[in-house]
Amino acid sequence: MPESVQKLILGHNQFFGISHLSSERAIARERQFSDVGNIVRLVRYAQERWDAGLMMSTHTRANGVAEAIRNDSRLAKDLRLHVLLPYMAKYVRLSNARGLVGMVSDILGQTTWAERFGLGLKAGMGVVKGDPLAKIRALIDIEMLPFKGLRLETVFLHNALTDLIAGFGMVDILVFFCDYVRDRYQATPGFCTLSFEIVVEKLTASGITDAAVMAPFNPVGYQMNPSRERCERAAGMVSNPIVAMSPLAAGHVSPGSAAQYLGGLQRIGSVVVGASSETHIDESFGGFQTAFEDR
Amino acid sequence: MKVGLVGLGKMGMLHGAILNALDGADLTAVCEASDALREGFEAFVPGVRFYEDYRRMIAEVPVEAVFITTPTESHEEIGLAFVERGCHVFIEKPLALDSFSSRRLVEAASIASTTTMVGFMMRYVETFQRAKVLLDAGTIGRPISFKATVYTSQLFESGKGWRYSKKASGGGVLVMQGIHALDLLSWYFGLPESLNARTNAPYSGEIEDFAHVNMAWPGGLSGFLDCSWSVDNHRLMETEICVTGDCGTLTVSDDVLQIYLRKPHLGRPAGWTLESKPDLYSGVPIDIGGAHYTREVMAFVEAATANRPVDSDFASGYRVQCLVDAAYTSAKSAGGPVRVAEIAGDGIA
Repeated sequence: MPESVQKLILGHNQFFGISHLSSERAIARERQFSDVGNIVRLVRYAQERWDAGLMMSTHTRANGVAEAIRNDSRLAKDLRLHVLLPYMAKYVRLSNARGLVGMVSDILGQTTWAERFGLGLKAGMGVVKGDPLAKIRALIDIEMLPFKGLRLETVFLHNALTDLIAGFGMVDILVFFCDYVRDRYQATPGFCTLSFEIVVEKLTASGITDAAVMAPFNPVGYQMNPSRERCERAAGMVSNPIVAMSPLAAGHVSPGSAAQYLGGLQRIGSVVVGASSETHIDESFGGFQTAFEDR
Repeated sequence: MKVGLVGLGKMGMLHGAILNALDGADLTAVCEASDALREGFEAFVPGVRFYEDYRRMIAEVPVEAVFITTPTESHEEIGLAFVERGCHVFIEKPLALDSFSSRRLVEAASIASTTTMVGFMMRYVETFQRAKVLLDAGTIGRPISFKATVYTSQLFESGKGWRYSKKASGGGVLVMQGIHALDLLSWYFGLPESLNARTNAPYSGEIEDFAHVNMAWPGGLSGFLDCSWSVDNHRLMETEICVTGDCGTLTVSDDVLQIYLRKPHLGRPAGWTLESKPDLYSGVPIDIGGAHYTREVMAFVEAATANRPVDSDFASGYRVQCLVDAAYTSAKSAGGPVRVAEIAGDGIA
């Protein structure tokens, strides 16, 4: 039986000024959470009240949040982290400024990085010139640095990369990612995707039955590709743990309807949802907790 | 349909993965000059032939269509090579370095009579697509005035790479990002008659980091585009167009579309109505960085398979490039007015 993923996970987007529906709302949230203390207060509440974990991207500001969690001995021990890597917007900007090859060389060629891994500059440059998998390994390690010493449960590959890899049919890389996350980080590997049906197909074809899959599931079918019906059907055909994201369809669906919808999908055992206040947390997690009672 | 791809940068990867996943297309060959990128992909992507030089690719693989996603300076040469072989050709925006170069592509494609497309993906974003339908239907009455903005927080020091070299890119933020809004505005309202523009380049020097373009149409519509990649608080590129008509106002952004009507008009009540992305969403087979990219690729593949044209063809890419050239001409004369027809010459409307 594949391992399951924590039922309730607090999303991170609102902390870092990301809203997929409204840029203005995102900017307002970023102001609210520019103080790391406000983030940690909510994370602590979600963990204590609802036994919830935290999804974290490798946003530059994740360092501060990870540091604050590390400094809170109880949170450091009890809070289960689900990492989403890499922080794509950063790489898109970097590659716009530097070109793709230049960007990878820049990141891997940094002395600070080589030193942190005890490699010395020469070995660091070796990775830059080395085989593609060595580069991917090194890039994952760099992204994982902020989470050192914290309680890792899942490491998800960002949807832009999962979907790119699946689109090109590079199944060996999917397998490689799973193996590396298990070996190096003793965590459950996961794939975030906006192309659920195709990704599930590729995972099945590569014999990956126990990696988690995180994809949008909401009653209006927002970002459920190719369609809500086909995503629901695909979910029924695999044994991988499935984490529902965007349950509220960017604020378009009430927490009650979202919980009712997910409650009806037996194969979904976890949900990640953003919240920006204690009241929001209770509203969302209360419904999902009840919906998932049987699983 | 057998499809080739030239250029495995960010946009090439995105289009390549979509093509490889779509039922109607068969990604057969990929060309990439960088050894690291090419060899990296070759090791893992099954069933695709990889080339270092597009000329060898043309000689060895009979593709029916090609996606060209290289730096702008090579668009004309590579585009002409494929058009002359009778291929259907998609070129990432901007079509070419300037309007002269673009025009040569339009002329070659019209002789070959193949399907052409320029990567104006914003036309496939639900909200902007919906705005076109509503504006065409006269929802806010006769358009009188607009303001358009394209902003991202990308560059706060001098940039490296081809995008920041005038020789390779043809210009700065106006031709790289603002061009999407110029395309949408031309799609909505047709070509403006005249414009004047100012640019500012505090970081990049030889190319602009800020562009302010005023435009006027023959029927009395006027408005301005403001674009920059050096403004704060815009994590991703964000585009917004606000149009005021004689019955109300339509505001459209990447996320949401809002209409305000001063009085009931064409069966709609007075006041606000709002349509957001989830309202307008329809699924796609694969989503890499936005469903609109997939819709765009599907539109091209379907049109090419049926050998019919698309709206955002080379000719429309050329017209938009004339606006860019007109803006650069105006900026050189400290914002003096430029008639678009002077740049575009005859036969472009």
